[in-house]
Amino acid sequence: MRQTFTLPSKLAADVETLKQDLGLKNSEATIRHLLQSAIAREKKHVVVRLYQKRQKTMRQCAELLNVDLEEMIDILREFNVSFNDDLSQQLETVNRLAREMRAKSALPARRKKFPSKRSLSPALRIAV
Amino acid sequence: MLFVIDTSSLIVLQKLQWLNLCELGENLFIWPVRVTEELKQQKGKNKRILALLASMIASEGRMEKAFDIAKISKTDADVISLAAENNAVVVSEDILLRHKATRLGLSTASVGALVVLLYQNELYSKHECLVRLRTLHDEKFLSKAEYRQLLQSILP
Repeated sequence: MRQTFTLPSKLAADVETLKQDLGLKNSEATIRHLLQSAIAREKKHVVVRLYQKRQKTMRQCAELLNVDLEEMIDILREFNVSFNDDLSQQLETVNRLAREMRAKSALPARRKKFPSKRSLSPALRIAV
Repeated sequence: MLFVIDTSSLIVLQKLQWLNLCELGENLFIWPVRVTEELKQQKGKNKRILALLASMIASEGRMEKAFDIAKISKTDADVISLAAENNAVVVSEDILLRHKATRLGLSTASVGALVVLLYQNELYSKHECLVRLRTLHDEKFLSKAEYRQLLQSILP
């Protein structure tokens, strides 16, 4: 695709500087390079925003960016996205499960029953 | 207590070299077959996870049942479905997946919450729990506020 556009002189000067810094052969290659990296960065922004708004799962985001799940996790870390914005709820779960486990592992409490006088031998009955 | 573990959490455990957490307790973790398939597709990156899954008895064959949840992928649905079938806790780093599971009445946890839960069930020491939480914070899986919140939950 061929596109013709006008650059403000400040931007054109920046392109020239970057051409030298990046060691690219001409302005056209520099602009192409800059466009590629800007598009990739913007795509990441858009997809990360979808994830943050809970509109897409991590897997769906990975598909949109054409990366695997591990790379998607790294992108979310790179953008400082929280993995735990529901932490209070998770902690409620943790505490409930811990209580349930403690209750399960605890021995049934034995009630100490004081013997009735009738069940005791005559000698003990006197002592009681 | 049973955990259905998602690929995202397995990847985080692998990154932190904590896959041995999955071997704590007896048959504490299960996962859908599709999770294994997903890991296999990722260009040989997950050999260690796959080796671990293969070595664990509770692995393949128990899962696979369709669960109709709109707008999430098949593997996400499988994770939720398996947890629902087994009354298990969903362990995932994916916020939307956890949100969907919670709305279906399931318990959910990320690796951070899992670390606290395993400590509370005396599967390892408080020192080890603190070190793990610190690592999660250092590796950007927990923000500072989240790290503090988890610390408060275990310190008297």
